[in-house]
Amino acid sequence: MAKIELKNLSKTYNKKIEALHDINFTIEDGQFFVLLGPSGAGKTTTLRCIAGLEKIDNGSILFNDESVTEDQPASRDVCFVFQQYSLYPHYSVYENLAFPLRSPMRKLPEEEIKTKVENIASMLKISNKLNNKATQLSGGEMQRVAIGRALVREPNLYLMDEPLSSLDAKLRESLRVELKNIQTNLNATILYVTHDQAEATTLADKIGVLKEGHLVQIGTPEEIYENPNSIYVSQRLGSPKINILPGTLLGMNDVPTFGIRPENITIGNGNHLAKIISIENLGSETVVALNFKDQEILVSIQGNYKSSINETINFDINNAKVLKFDQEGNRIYER
Amino acid sequence: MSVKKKFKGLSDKAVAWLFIGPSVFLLLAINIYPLIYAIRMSFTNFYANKIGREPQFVGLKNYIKVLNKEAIWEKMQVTANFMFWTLLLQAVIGLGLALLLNRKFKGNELLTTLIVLPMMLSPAVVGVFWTYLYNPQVGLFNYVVNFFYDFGSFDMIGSSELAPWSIVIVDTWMWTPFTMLICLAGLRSVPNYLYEAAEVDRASKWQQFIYITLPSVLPFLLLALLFRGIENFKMFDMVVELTSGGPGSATELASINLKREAFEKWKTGYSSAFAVILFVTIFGFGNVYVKVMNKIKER
Repeated sequence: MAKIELKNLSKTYNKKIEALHDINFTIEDGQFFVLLGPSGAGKTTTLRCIAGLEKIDNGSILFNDESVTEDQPASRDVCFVFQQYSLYPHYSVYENLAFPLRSPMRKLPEEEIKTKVENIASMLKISNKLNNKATQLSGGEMQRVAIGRALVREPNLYLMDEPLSSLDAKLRESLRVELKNIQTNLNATILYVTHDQAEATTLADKIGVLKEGHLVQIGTPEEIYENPNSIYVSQRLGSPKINILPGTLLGMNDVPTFGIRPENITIGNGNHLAKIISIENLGSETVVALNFKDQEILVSIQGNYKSSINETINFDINNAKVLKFDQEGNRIYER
Repeated sequence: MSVKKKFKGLSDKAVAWLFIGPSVFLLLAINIYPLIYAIRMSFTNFYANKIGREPQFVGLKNYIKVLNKEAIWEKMQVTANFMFWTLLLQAVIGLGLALLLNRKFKGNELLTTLIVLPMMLSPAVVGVFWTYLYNPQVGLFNYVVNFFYDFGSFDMIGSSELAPWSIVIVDTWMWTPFTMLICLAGLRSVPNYLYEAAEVDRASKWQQFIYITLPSVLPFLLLALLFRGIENFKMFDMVVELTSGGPGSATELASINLKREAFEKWKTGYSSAFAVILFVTIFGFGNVYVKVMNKIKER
């Protein structure tokens, strides 16, 4: 495994569309780095640049402090799990998993290939499918084969482009856990792309938030959640979503907007009065929507909450948790 | 209810028959009826030029005669030879050209159009103008060959050793674009991400060809060869114009021989039997081939 470094990376498509702008970040050896952002933010382009599938316009890519910027994909020795499964359709699952081991750059003996493939297959629970043709699998199985094809080698870096996005919720969760376990066991360096915040927070050692080709914040999941540097970043994590409200609502006339997470509001005491618009019971928590001076405020309460719509109640905002933002949506830090 | 009433006159089935009726009628009149007629003729001693003579039923006599005639087997061998070399050359060159044209380069589309041109000409015309190209004194073909290596004077059409090659060359020149086009369609259907995945998986270009390109393009190539095989088994016009089966019978394909028996010697019964044998042969081979092709596709 390797330490990956991106320096001033820029990429423009067709000389017009700027996909990536001055991207800088470092993935330490053995780190699970997640790139988070909505579609079109440049996540996939970043991966493709690192893999060598796209030529970059500016900047450099370093593996273990050595530049690979000009190298072909094969000599970079990375693995790529694509969003579309991209299995080789004419071959069996076994052949698909063995394919990377058959590269002329490794030339492993057939027995070693067999053990490796079988190990990976049992780890991903597809041992009974080894003789099936790749096209005869279900979506979940295909994706596991695609992940397996990456894990069967020990590359410098694993690149994963929303590998779980096409799976159903249950499988996604179990594979998520498995992926984290595998990463810890192999001490693998992984760069993982997702727009799913649950994946980002559970998997990541570090998160990089992308916005329209700009890397706007890097930090641990806690840092990104607790200490976002802009409204944009604050909205990337957290469910239910953070409340973004005008500062005047709390009498802060010098603060254009502020953000407060739903769990940092309490109901039943405090000096603000609001009307209940809706109550959503999610089992372990209840999301209550309040109307306060014509603004909707979401509150999340542990457990079950008994009340009725249109009822007027008191609520309180934990002032220590208020995030203040300026006109452009950037964070105002307290001095 | 009202809609149903409006079209009360025609049921779905009737409409369906109305649509397919004309084609079925033409098929029956032009293909099936003559086929059945020919099968009937093949059991008689009918001579189409002897008007008024009642054809007599002779049983399997015509078939036995055809199958026992050494000359027929020679024609079959000429046909088999012709088919083997044309299909092999058209497969290899066609796939090769498709691989080249699948790359992006300037003038790609113009080149494709130029390569496809021969296919659009009439086979009879092609036959006639290649007789000029093959002319030993003024022909371009001999000039070009001798430009690279001086073989001296040679006559592609006149020599019984070279004549079979002369028809192979012309057919390959004319129909390689066909295999190329179909292979190109196959190549274009291969998604690019497979090559990207293979590249990241550190596969060599050769491995990419064997693992991705070839299996994707093979069903297309086999289909093109099926079409070419059936066509070349029946090859007639181009060869007649070019060599008219000669010299001697060096390029006399089964179909040319059949035409001579049927419309020069007027042995209608006998040539019907020959035609039926040819039909059964190609029908059988075609069926086996399609089965094999489907197996490969399923793989």
